[in-house]
Amino acid sequence: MQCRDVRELADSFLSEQLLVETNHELLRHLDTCPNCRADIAGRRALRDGLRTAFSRAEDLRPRPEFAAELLATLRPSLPERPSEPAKEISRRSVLQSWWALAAGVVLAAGGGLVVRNANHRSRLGALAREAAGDHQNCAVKFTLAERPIQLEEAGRRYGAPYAALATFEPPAADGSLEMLERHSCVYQGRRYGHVVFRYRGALTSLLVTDGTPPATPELEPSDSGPAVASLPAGRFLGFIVADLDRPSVLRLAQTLTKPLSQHLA
Amino acid sequence: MNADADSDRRWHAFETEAMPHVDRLFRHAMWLVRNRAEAEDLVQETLVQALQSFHRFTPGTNCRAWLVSILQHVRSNRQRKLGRTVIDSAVDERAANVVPFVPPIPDHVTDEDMLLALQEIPPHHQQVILLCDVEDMTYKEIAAALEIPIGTVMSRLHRGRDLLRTALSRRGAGPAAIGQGIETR
Repeated sequence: MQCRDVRELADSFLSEQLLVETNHELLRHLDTCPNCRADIAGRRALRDGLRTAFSRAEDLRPRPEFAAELLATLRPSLPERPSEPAKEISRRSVLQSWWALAAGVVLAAGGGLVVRNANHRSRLGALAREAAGDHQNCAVKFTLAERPIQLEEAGRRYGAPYAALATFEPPAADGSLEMLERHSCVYQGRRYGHVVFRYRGALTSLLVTDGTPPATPELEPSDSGPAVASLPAGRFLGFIVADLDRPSVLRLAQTLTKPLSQHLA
Repeated sequence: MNADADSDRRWHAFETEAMPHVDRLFRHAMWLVRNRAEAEDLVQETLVQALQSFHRFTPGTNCRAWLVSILQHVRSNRQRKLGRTVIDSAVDERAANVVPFVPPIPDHVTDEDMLLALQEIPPHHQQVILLCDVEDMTYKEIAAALEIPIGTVMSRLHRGRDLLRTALSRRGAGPAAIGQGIETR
């Protein structure tokens, strides 16, 4: 990487928006180039100075009582039910649609549970494909659009379970597990806690994300590519993704379920 | 679960996730509208809308970015109603023409210098710099909040930072080597 490239990438570097590989290249250049180091330091100082100035400006500070007043004002605004507010169905119109109502009742009584389960499975399948995509693009190819961040930082910004993942040690009964990397990454708009390790010689990802967990570990359908198993991770949804045979991936998911759920609880 | 318990749970979740960001949200609103009463009103409407649609917020994602996006939409709707919207697609090109070179950062920069310099640059650039450098939002989050392409976010940020340095250098007593720290109050 040349100095010219560094100047072009400096903004994205400071905003932590570079791909992991590009970031490493830029850091390697900075190790050997005092001019670029000084340039980046200047830009960083400018950004930090602005942040500090903004957070200290008295003119921008809210009144001390503003937050308390807001709380009192907001509490009555809480909707009775967390429903979609855009479309209101009037009671009268529903009552006028007797046939629709009757059909709905029959559907709910007879097939509602099946439909709900099918929807859940279908949703889980879609999430499993995304998890496989994250494994491929993050752990294998390093081609994520957004730079991964430390799990500790993700914990501070997005919730404690991400930070807890930083200290999770996957147990491996046969001792063939080598830890490689941990971070939090984003793939197709979804954030993951990502633990990468080598298991039985294969690059393997443990991915934890927000979502309804399955009751037990299950293999997810996959036409080609790595095998994927979903697993409960406390109140989060977990996936194991690896280029291993499907039974091995399922067994690994079964082994991890209990310690992972306990660790993230 | 009975209705009261459910309501308490949802309120508690909102209070925990959203309310810690009130200070930052107000500062952002205050910078945008420059009027305390209007800023309070803007923040209140933002939080009312956030509360109404809190079921759409994905836990584990960046709540402050979500709130700032709502605030931007509320403000832009208000501006539209007041007929204050300024559509100026040439602003980036003009800005590019007035940044012939990037001067070094002055030796002594106070908080006041910094904010006055920020005020001097075009609002489009101010907004992107604030969302990125102060609110820590990703390019994707900024693009969604301002309803502009990611490429525009990047170019405005780049030019905006250059403009900010130019404005600061006009205020500074003398140039210093790039890389020296910024002295703040």
